[in-house]
Amino acid sequence: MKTTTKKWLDHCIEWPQWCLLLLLLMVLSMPFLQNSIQQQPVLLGEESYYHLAQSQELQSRNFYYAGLHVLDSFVYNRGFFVLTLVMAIASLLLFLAIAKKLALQKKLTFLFLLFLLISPAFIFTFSSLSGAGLFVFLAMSSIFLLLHKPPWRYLALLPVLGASFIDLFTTLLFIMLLLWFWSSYGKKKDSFAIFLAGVTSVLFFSNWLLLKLPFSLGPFHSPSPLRDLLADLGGISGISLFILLLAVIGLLATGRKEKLLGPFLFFILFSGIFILNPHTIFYLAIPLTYFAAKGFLWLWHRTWTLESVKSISLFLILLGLLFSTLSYLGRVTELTPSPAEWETLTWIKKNIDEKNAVYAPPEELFRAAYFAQLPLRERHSTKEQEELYHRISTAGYIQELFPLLEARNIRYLFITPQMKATLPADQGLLFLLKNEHFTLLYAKENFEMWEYRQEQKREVPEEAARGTEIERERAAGESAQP
Amino acid sequence: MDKKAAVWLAVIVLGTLAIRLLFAFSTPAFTYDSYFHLRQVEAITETGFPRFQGELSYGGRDIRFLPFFHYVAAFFTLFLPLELVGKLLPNVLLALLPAVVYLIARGLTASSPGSLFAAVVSGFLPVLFSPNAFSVNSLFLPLVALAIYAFLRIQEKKFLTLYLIAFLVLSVTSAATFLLLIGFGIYLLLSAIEHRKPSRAEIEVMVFSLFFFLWVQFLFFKNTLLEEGLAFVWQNVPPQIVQHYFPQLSLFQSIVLVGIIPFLSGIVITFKSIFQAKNKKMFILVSFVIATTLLSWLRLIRFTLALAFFGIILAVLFALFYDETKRYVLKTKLARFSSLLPWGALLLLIFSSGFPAIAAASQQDLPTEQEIEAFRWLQNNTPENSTVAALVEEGHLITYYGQRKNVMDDQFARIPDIEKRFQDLNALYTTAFQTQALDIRGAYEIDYLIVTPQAVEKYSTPKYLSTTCFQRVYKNETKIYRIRCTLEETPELNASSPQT
Repeated sequence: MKTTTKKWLDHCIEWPQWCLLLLLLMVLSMPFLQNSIQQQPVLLGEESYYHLAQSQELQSRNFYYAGLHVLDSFVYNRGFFVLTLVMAIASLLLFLAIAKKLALQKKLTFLFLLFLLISPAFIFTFSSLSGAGLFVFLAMSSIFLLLHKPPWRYLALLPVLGASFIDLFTTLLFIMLLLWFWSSYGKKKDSFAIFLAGVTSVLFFSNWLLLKLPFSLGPFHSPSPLRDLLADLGGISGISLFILLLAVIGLLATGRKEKLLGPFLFFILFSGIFILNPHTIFYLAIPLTYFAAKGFLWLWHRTWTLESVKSISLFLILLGLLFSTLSYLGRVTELTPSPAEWETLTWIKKNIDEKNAVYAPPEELFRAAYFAQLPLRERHSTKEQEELYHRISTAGYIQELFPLLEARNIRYLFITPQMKATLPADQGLLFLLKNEHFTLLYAKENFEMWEYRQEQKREVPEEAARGTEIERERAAGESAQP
Repeated sequence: MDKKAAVWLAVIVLGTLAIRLLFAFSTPAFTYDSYFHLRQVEAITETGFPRFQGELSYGGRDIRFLPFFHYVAAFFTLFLPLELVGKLLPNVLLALLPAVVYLIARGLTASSPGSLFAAVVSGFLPVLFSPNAFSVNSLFLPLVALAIYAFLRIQEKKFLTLYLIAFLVLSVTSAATFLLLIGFGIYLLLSAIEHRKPSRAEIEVMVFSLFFFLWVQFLFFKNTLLEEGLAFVWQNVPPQIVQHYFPQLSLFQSIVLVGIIPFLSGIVITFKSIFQAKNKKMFILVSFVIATTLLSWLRLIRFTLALAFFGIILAVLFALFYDETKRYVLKTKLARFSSLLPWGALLLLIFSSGFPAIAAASQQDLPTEQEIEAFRWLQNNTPENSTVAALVEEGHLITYYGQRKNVMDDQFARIPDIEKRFQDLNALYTTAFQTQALDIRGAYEIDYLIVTPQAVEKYSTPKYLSTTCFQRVYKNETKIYRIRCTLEETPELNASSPQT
């Protein structure tokens, strides 16, 4: 007689859309709710603000942001949650439809999607405006349409066109996907998939040479490969350590018996890209999650010496995955601008006219560009910007700092809690801010806006000056006061 | 086990225990790091829970550790005073190690004498011979040996159960249990290279062990992992003293702390096992040797723990070495002297392991009674919320005996700017300038400074202590100074440009 759990599980495997849809709604609504309650912007990660900042400065070089530009005019902050949620739901349903059409293994499909939906990489990708999320949605749409008969399949051109403007890597990925589809599932005389691959190739070269799209977006933070891979080590995205271990088990246990060449090649490719740019973790998470699902299935179907040890082990794995997810969801509010930061940037937008004269540290580049409407000069934090930050933050004397500021026409300095935590208070920039050439204009919970004035020192009244001189002498003689 | 062997084993266990207790009770003091664990046992006795939020260490901080050992000790404090439990429990646990090593060795070799010698070696490993240490390793090491023993007989159901219980307890005793898991990984690798297939039961317990261990560590150390990432392994030890905890692998030091005979015999047997005889149980043990060496070389585990684990495995391998030697001797012209072999081996072990172990016990780094008295003085003669500065290793004495806040101790995990703090504490003892000392005083709100003979030996007495700002309130071999002055900015200097 089947237990309730087994019945429920069989039902979910047979009709996964309801269970997985419910799970998706739960995991994606949690960051939204937490951020809303704390009155913070709901979009996670720097990439979201990068795209929004780009859409604010619409030009010929980034005309493809026109859609987002229009959307931003109507939708603000919390409204973007709907956009990302719709993309996630659509991607899920499209994948399930594709899996049904291609008759993929139901258990494997269910497990793969279950593990993927609760992975921090998925939560991060679909709680932000991300190129990876858009690519997944467009790729699913394209494959789904290609599996249909004309005239529907010709609509696959639209997602192909859209995906080509994310970055060059996703364009290449799309070409590979189309070729793989044609070789695995397309009919031999089917030229439309090849045509799409050709169109994508042309777009690849035109976007590379004319629009100068980057090879891959990001990184939008200081990369740390291990931390970026494993969310359990504090990464902003990533996978659970349990997924990684299951993937190893899946590879070792089933690698030789089954044809896993396709997924394995994708794994190698995405691993290489991840090492170069850890921001591409979501792509790597997909084959790893696939292998993890394989590994879990292998453990599940295997006859164990002690059934109780088997049950406990499988339960521990699921518990560990859940723990990673909950732990990640517990800190999503750290991945968006805090209310204080948001207010400070909004204050800058309203009160500082000379936006060109504002200096913000590299980690604030895109948030400041979007919320404070500071000019966005580069697509990403360049070495030059980091060097400038280093020179400004470590300047030991005003003779070093002032020329740096004047040369770049910097009149305003945005100081963040991170700078206060990492820079010494008794020397360098934070100490030099005590100089009379700097005036504190605004402060909120360690977010500060300072104005730098080049004019002469203010005149000190004679009595105060004499008093200051006497105190200096006294201080030189004895500095310790019981 | 035959009766004669049982008697000899009992003699070895009791003999080890007796010698350990002799040293343990020769002084009331414990090693410096023991006081942290004693304080945690005290907390469990009082409140039922460990002190994860300490108000005294570093002036107040969060700490996370696996508390099973402390709960075991707390249980015994229901019947005995804490300090007596502190002396008895670790020594009893480590005295049981020879028994487990005997059982492992007996499973590998038909020879009882060899196994008994293995037990002797494990009982007198110099690196483990610290009878005044109240530490988690005293439970961890016998347990891990028991887990290895059970794993070697995993095909039998009762040993499968024993392994599961031992591993469960290990996972909540020490994070060093990952040594076992790495050993399993090396074993799988060696098996793949040798085209051997591990048994189903072995694979299953390895999978279970891996996921259970990880899950427990995540439960306890979630925040530490999130904040420190992989640096958690190095426990935030200040770079200035990381060499002390994770030194470069030193062959000479390894030989001294493990014993030259076990070391050499272990190498011979390891070589033979990998390249010649392919006994499965040997593979498992050799895997642990490789795992320990690798992790130590990569500085992923503390040197002393690596050597202790290494020493236990070498002790087991000594049994095989003895057997092989005996077989060899019987084939040669020296066969008529084979009855002297056990005595010869015993003599060699006494000189190579026994004496170094006794020497290690005699040279334990312990606070003197006078120093303890000084720290005790703090509790009744200083305000309750005072902060006291002492050497890093003396930090736990301040919290345990003095019940006062310390500036620093050897529990470095999750302390921000640990390098600066260590530098400042060092500067407090080395600076010649009163202003610098007072500046540090202000940064950490230090009210009292303790200068023990150890501090004097390490740094010499700070010169500024003779000024009026430092009032000596306790004088003995150890001196305690109350800091009466503060360093303040002259108000008028704030209005002018800073001195740049």
